[in-house]
Amino acid sequence: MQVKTNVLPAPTWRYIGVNYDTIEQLEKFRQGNIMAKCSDPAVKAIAPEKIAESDASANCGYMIDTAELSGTLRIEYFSDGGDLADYSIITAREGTDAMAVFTCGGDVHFHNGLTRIIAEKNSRLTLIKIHGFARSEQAVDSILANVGENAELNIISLELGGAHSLTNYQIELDGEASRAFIDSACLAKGREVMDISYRINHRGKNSVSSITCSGALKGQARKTFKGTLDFRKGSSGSKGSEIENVTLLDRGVVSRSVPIILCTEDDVEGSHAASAGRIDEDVLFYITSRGIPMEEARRLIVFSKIAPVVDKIPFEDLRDGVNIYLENYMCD
Amino acid sequence: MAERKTQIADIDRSIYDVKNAPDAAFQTLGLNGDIIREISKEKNEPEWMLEFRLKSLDVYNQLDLPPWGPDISEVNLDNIVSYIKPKAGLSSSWEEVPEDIKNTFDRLGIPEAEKQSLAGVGAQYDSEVVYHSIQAELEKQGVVYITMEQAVRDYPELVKAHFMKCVTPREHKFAALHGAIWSGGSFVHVPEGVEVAMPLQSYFRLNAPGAGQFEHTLIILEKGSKLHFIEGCSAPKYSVINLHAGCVELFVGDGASLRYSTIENWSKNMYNLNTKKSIIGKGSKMEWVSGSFGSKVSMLYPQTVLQGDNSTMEFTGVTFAAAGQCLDTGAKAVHVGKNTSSTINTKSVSKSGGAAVFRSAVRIGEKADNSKSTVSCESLMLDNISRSDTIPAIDVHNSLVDLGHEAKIGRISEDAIFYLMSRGIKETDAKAMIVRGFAEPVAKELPLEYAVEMNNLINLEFEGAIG
Repeated sequence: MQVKTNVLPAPTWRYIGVNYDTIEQLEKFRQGNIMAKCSDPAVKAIAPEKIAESDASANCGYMIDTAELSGTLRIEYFSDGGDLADYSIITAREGTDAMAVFTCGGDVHFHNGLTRIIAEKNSRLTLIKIHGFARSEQAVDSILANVGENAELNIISLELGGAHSLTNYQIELDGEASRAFIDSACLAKGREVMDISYRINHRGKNSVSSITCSGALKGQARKTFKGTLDFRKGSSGSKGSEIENVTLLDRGVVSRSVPIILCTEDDVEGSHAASAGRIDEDVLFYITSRGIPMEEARRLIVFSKIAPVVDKIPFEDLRDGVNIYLENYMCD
Repeated sequence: MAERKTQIADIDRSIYDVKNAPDAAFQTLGLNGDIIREISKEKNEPEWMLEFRLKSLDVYNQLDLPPWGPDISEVNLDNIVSYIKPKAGLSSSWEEVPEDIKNTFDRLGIPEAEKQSLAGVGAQYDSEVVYHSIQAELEKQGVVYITMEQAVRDYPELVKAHFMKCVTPREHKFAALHGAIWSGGSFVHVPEGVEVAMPLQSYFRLNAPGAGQFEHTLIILEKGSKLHFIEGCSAPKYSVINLHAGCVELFVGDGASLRYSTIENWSKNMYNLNTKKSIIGKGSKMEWVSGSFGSKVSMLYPQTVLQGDNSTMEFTGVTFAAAGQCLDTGAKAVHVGKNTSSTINTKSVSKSGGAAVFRSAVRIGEKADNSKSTVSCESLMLDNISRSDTIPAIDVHNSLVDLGHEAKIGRISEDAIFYLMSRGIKETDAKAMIVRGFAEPVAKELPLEYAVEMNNLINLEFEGAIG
């Protein structure tokens, strides 16, 4: 059954094809070996009956309480051909400062991940997600977060493609002086289709947000970026910004962007900027004039687009994995 | 003593709200095939136009209302006067125009503007054009500026080749409606190489309550020609809704240059669902200047198809939404040719519960190598009961592009006020200055000097602090 997802909060002309994306909703999961590895023994897997109680349709997941973590948390999912539907709940306890890294590898035919985040007041949570290490036909990753008073949520997201990948992050800045920052990088190639939807709703006074998304497209890849900042009534004193920058490497790519600002409060500052274009020839000339071969120069420029995100990954093996991915990406 | 607050006044509508008692020679209510046959017969049209109207009606019945944008469910064609012909016939002298109609245009300053600074004027009252004139000098050069009905009769081949070929009835439901019941409007043909030094102006006035206005403007600029065309619209306010679903089609030939300026100042019971589109050729230049002030609901997004290589488009727009208004405006650019360039620059102000929405779409096509596009929109909220949204869409199908978009929403900058105050300017004056400055880059592009009406559009009255 086809269902609509990544629905644009303020729809626009239908012919552009950005109002929503559709995904295949599975009636039943394909069976396979699914492995889940968690670095911290204090973190409990969600019991199947708990998953059944929730709205999420999932076959694995974790209940994470940041007060119980002893260091940076790392959760790795792996599938050898079965469908993966993971569901995690993260409660960032008052006054805690935590970091969690989620990855997924192997051969996931269908991946549907949902992370529910409750950031209590004065908490700080950094969540790093790397999508695309696994082969997939359809991958959907969703985050639904509520951020309390003076709490901060940082999301670092690396989108490395997949036949059809969708990201859907919705953050509610409920508390006064709550903050959310999404820093993402994307690489798509071949005939990959990528639909990225980030939405931040400012509800609390003096809340702050930013969305940055940069990346590159090659081959016949198609990417749609939907970023929405919604300043609701009562969010006076809030500030939000979003920036998207995409480098287009081949003629056949399609890059769509819809950076939206919705505003019903006057005492706010909202801004967005988007740019798309080829590799800057002056930069390319400068690098090659220093004796670096053209292909390496191109790789360096593309890497510079995703480097700010890659640098924030705290594990060397994951950063190496991204570098290998980039090597293959440039050669494909 | 309490400081007096600045009032940024709504537009002074006193001159637009003068109503004449409806006095129609012929009118139709609603929409069906019989009504369309009646309109066509009344206009003594050729068979092909009747067929076109009936086909458009079929398309209208097939298409749904857009599921995006403002709520327009209140628009019910069964209750709209689809065609209303004033008793006055077409005249080329203001003296021959009936007194009540002439007085309306006099109040709006149209005859005076014609004397001062226009090369030609068309004035439409309800569904028909009542006055049309063009300077003899231009006629000698082969410039044609006549009513659309006359063009259908006198230039059938030219009209057939262009009429609703740019905006087709399939574009959207109200374009189809327009194809079915269009009436009035202007036809302009500028021959190759002719540069029209002074602007032409068409003014559309909707007087009858509950009526629709569906004028068609078709402008064809041949190679290397040049024109500035001004369009003005207004209507008095009634308690029933009025509908404006006009259509503007602009064909700009290779190397030609067209500036199309519009001031829309419909009354606040008007649904302004207008469609404007241009197709521009090699090395040509299209400039849009658009001011949206009136209407209850507006959905207006002038579109430019940059068909020819090296063509350029500039859109400059200002929108002022006050109480009870939802003005959903913007622009669209479709880059088809190589080395094409588009610039969209808009400003919007919302106050007293008004909603200003900026909506745009830029498409860079597969073959539009080395194209450039810049979109910039700035919105100013004057209170927290209003609404301001920006919904731009960018659709790039070519890697050899340079595309940028930026938008800002907010209220008056405290830093700017501080800076001005540090230069000895009172806080109240500083705020007033900033609001004026916000609209100024766009306001200066408006052809205020050509149509007296436009002088009355924004009445910014500063008396102390903005609050």
